[in-house]
Amino acid sequence: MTPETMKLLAAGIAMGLGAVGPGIGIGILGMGAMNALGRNPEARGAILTNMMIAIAMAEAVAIYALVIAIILIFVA
Amino acid sequence: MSEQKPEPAKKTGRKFGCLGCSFSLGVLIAIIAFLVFIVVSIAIGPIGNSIFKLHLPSWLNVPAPHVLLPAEVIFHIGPFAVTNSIITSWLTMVILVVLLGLVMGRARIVPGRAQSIIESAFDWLYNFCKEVAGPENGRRFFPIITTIIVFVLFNGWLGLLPGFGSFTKTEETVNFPGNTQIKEVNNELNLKLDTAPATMDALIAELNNNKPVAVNKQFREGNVKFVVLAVQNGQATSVAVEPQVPILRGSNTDINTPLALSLISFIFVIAMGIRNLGTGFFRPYTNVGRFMNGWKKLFTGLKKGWFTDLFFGFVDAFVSFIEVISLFFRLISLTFRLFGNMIGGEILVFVFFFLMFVTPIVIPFGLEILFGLIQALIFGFLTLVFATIASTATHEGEGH
Repeated sequence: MTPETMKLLAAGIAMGLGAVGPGIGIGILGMGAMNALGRNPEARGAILTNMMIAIAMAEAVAIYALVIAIILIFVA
Repeated sequence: MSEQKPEPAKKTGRKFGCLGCSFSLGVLIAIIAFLVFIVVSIAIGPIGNSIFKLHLPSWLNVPAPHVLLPAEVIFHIGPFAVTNSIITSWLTMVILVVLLGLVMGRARIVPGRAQSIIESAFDWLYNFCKEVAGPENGRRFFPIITTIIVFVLFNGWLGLLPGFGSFTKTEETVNFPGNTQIKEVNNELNLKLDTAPATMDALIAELNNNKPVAVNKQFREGNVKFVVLAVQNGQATSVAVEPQVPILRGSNTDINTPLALSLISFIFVIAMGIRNLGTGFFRPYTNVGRFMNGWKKLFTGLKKGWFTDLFFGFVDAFVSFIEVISLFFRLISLTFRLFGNMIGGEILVFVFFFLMFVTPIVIPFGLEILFGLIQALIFGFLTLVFATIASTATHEGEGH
């Protein structure tokens, strides 16, 4: 394995594994929001905005992985 | 029918049919045409090239994405280096000031179309601020949060305009003999040309489709321009290499702008916390009183309760330590969320351009319009929520 191969492999693994956790998290968040919406349809606006903020928090973890992958490919 | 009632027939004809097809059939044909376009554009891109071994004309080829994480310096004002991302932030500010000045400068009581769009957007944000932070704080937080949101939003959308990255500036011109190795050029100009031909001559010949080259002919490879200066027997003997630098670049694809925005948000949060709570703002972060009290009890001989004070005091101190870390981690988190989303979107668009020919570009563009909006709102809302948390007194021991 050349260093180049390892770099690409590392970037792929970083992004792939880094997306697992946020994926599960966003799934749980979406489920919670849908449940809340089903129980209380009038609170649609509040649920939506809070869900978005929470999803962005979960998604940030995937973005860190993306930044690492980008740095591995284009800078390192 | 159409002679008796010409107008309704015209209307229904427009609405329910197109080129002699019924409406649903038209939609079906459009969808199928789009899918066919996607398949064809993938097939004639690099993927299809490597599978079907097609040899397409060079003008169909889009260069592979070239990403530079640090922003390029365009010019200097004294010791202050002006990068292309700074220029874009200035451009965004100018556009915002001109747009809002034009529309809201002649604001009327009965709003026109543009005015009512802007007013309803700002009204929605204002109501959201008041809902989250309460009427008084919401009014206080609204201006800075809206500024952040509008700046990030327009900055993100500006980068999606066609031709945004096309304004380039020649950074420097260096002349090389035609037999120079590509490696030497890379070392000399700090480039990352990654081509199969090893010399400038061979590269130029390949860019020219293996035909003899002429003087003054220009070639592009990625973000580098080559100009043939002298030719002998159809071979370039001297070549000028001109790295091209884009003058405009989405500000948030350079880590410094998101960092600056998060610093503004961080300082704003702390300032609002101090303003609303005074020194009480620092209490969750410096909660070591009980711990110290435990030590005091232990050493002054008041045996009763020193262990519980010491233990729970230690837990309190540890929690406040974590609070401090989380306060600073918000800074990093806000920065990298915005930066990662923006540069990830840009790379996504580049990669789509590289892999597919023209048509499916609408997909990442649509996504980017949505992500720009969502990231702008997220940045503003998180600042709002942090500021609200910081300016609300925590009641220790009441709810537990």
